[in-house]
Amino acid sequence: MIEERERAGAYRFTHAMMQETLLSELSTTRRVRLHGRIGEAMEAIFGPERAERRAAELANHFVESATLTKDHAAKGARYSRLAGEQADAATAPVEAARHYRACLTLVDEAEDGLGEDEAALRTSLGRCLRLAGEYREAWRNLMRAIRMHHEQGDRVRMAKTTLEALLVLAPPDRQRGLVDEALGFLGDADPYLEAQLLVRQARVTEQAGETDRRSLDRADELANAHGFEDVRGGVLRIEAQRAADDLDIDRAIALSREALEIFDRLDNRQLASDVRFVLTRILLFAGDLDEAQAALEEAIEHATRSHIRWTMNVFYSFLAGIHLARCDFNRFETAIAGVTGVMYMAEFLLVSRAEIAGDTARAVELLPPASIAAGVPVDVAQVRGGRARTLFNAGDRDGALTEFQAWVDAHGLLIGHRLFHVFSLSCIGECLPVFGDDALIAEAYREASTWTPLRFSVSVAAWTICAVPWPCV
Amino acid sequence: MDHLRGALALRLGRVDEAAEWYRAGLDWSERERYPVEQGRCLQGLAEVAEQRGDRAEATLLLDRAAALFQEHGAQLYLRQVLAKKDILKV
Repeated sequence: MIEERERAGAYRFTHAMMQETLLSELSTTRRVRLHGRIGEAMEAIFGPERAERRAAELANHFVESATLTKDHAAKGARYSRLAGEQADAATAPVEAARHYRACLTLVDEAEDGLGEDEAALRTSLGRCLRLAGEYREAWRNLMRAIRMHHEQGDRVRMAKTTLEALLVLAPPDRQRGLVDEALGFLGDADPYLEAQLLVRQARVTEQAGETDRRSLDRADELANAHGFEDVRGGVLRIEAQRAADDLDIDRAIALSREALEIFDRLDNRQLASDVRFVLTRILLFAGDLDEAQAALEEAIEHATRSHIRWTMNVFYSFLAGIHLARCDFNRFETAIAGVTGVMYMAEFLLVSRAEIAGDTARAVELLPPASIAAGVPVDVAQVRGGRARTLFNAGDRDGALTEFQAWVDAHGLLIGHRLFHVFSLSCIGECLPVFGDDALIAEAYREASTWTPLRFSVSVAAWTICAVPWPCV
Repeated sequence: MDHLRGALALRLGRVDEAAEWYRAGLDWSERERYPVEQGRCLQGLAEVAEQRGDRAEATLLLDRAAALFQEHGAQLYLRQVLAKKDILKV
């Protein structure tokens, strides 16, 4: 049943099933006690430093024996936190999140929090979950941490956790509320965090289709006064997006590259990946598909190395869009397989793939519901437009007309945001000349005629920017 | 985008402008190796030719589009082109 290992006094089971069988035959009480004794023995043998280095193993035994005594629970929490921190440092967010969760479970069950800092744990857990693509749980933990910091009157940590939360995809109005509250609470306690929050405030405002020059100017002023390079990069990123919104494509590309150089130099992987998202999208719209493809392949490599799931999914979807446009279906399948979890962009690309193959019934089956747009006007316009086109191509004119009318309403809400209009019109595509009245067609043509820098969009790229859901709510 | 611009121009009766958009789209999609867009621009140019009363040119353009769609497995658009050719024959 057991065999001796090379090292004296060390044994192992000849088969893992034997270990499992024996464990299952133990009573719960005896198993808990044994875990406790094993943990204590390992701690005694290892000594403090080595025990910390092997925190994951010790965490397992002390978490399993946490009900024995308060000391066991405290050790379970401490070693789980340490194991989480070690996995976090080794860029293993899924593993880190598992340990942080175990720690928080013990902290929640204890009356005195076992000496652990719950808010800090929730912030760490939230960050790891975001990186792992678990947005909903990430959001919940970060919101709880923000509330705790607020209650504790900790202005700096509340601002830091808010910045972390703002990296989770969320509707602009929710993000704006968060950033406004953090800025108000922070006051003048920390110019760096103030500058970072101002950049985020400007970005969130612009995402909602408004402009916020004041926040951006103030952030730039702080960046220049204090030498905050990453804040400067954030300002450039927003200016790049603004140039893209104004369809000044060359300027948008130049500003993105400048921001990217800063974040790469600072090794700020999150923001570097985010700027790659801005840049590759602009390259796609500019219509240089080879350059966009090369940039996307590099961006995927970067996001993979940095374990940033959301951008990785977006880049794979963009790349799949290019392969689909080129009817390179094998490469399309490979790229789409790189997308993990729920990613509506990928679902829409699969709709397009079925359509191109002539399987319009399958395309309709694959259509995501209109509700995925979650009421965000630009997403409603894109989703309704896309649904109208697919139903139209499948011969369902009544269904297409219903979707078209919903598209008209949503499209009307996008006044003043040129790029959103591009997205919206791209998605409705060939349905517009069929269903639109003369006034609508004339207005759309007038607009579309001014977008001459933009080429790649209709029928494929539109899907790749379409309907980013807000998975946190 | 050129394909959409062309379709909108056609709907407004601006045939010459539509032809320009479709030609620009065709140039770009050939350069970028985007066969579906190439085919759709050819479909648009066929529409332009038909509106100008040149059915022979329209048929030639549809044949080119059909060949592209056939080669790249774009069945949806191939069916549209074949249906349009039948209409032109009548």
